[in-house]
Amino acid sequence: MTRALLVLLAVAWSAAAAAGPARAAGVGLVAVDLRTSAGWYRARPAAELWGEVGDTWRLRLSLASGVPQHEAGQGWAYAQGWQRVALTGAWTAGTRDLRFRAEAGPAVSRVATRWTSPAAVAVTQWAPGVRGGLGLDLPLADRWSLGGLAAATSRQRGVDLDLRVGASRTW
Amino acid sequence: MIWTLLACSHPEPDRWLAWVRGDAGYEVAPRDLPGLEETDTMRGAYAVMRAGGSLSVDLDANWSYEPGRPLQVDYEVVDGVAWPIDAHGLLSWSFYGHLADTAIALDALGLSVDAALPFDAAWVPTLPSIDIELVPAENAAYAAGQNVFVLLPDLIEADVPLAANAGVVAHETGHCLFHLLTAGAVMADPLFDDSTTEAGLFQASLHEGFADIVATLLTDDPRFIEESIAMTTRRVDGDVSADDVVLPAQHLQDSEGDLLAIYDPYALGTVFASLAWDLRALHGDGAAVLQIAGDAAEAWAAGAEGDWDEADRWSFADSLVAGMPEELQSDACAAAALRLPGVGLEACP
Repeated sequence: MTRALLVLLAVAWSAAAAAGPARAAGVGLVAVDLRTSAGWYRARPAAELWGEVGDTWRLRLSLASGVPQHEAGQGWAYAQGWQRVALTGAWTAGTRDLRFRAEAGPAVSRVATRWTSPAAVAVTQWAPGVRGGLGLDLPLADRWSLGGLAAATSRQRGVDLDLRVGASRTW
Repeated sequence: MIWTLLACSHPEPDRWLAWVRGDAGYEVAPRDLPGLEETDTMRGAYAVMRAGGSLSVDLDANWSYEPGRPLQVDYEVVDGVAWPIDAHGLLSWSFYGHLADTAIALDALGLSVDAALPFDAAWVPTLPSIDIELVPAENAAYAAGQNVFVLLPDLIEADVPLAANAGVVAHETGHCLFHLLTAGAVMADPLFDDSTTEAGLFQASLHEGFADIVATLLTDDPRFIEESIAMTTRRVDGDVSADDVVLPAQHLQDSEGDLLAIYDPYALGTVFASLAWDLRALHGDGAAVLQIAGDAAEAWAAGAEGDWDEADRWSFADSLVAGMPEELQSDACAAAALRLPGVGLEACP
């Protein structure tokens, strides 16, 4: 699935470049995701890669992946990974020095837990949802920007919250 | 629509992964959850589990509870067994299972908590005071008068989390039972609601003592809490007596004018629970002694209602001893004399 998404990103990127005046941007990393679980929020580090096209109105395709978690206690142990794909439309406004962003769109999350104790059982959950967020982009030198985004993504049972800080470059 | 389809296609489990307590101790294994109607929202005959909500108290010390949203455990069903996505689901099902086990066991002894069912169990509600959240032994507490369990994350990592400890859940349910036996109704005010009086402080100790009696006798474990937290002062198989603790009257005298002085209800409570454990050792049947304790709680309330007097201090212990079989009365009195030195019980002339 990851390869398919990267191909999709590349195709979108090329299309955007060919479209002429639309601005394309990519690269984002390092985030903290607060996932709900039976009512609690737990902070988990994550990485995110995104591709974005547009100017005032933009389209972003993002792929996020949490750092694998390993947990164990008396008589139980598991490893867990999660990923999310989101396609969000964003509206930006502001000055050359600071841009405000609001974005929303559909998302699909996947959580895969591999229990190793008390038994070897794999549990995978897919959850479609809607993602929305507010953020700021700070243009830097040489077409680089620093951006922060606070977002929420609905899942089948609850809402994920995340804080993203990323660097991006336009072409 | 996609969510609805996914929800509808979720097969119902017939067992759930949870901490279970066996002869060899605790283990994580699939078990049944009696009366659980909806796993998705943790709604069942014994409890409705919620996330958040709030407990607050006004200036007149009147408590109120605002329920939070239904708890939503992430899980999948594999071969009929519900496996949680993470450990918090494990904790939720463990708590519900122990709660159901306790209520069923009490009902079989004629000590029913049916009037309180289903309990509300609030995971991490907002509390009126931060210091309440920092008391590690109270991470699974029952708020009498509001009929709600308050469950908090363990501050101290334990092999068996407090909310998954069968004895702890039984202890908290014991608070509900004591409230029903003494106040008469689940949402009624307690018999004594002024914690600045000897009556109120004695009641607090009886509450803790009775709850420990329920926990130790149902689990048949005098040190039930130590699976989760090192708390040797709560052992009921030690040699603690009333001479070793600060009694309510002494506390009131010592703390006069000191608004920060706090009475420890567990100390005297452990004396009561230790006496009950002594009687269990004599009787050989913990269930029978638990029934005696239930009758003793009712008798204490009937006698103490109205004006508090000296006889009400030890009438619970008196009824415990008096409820023992005649052939064990002498030994029971000897045990009471060790736990309550210098206290003259009517059952022990």
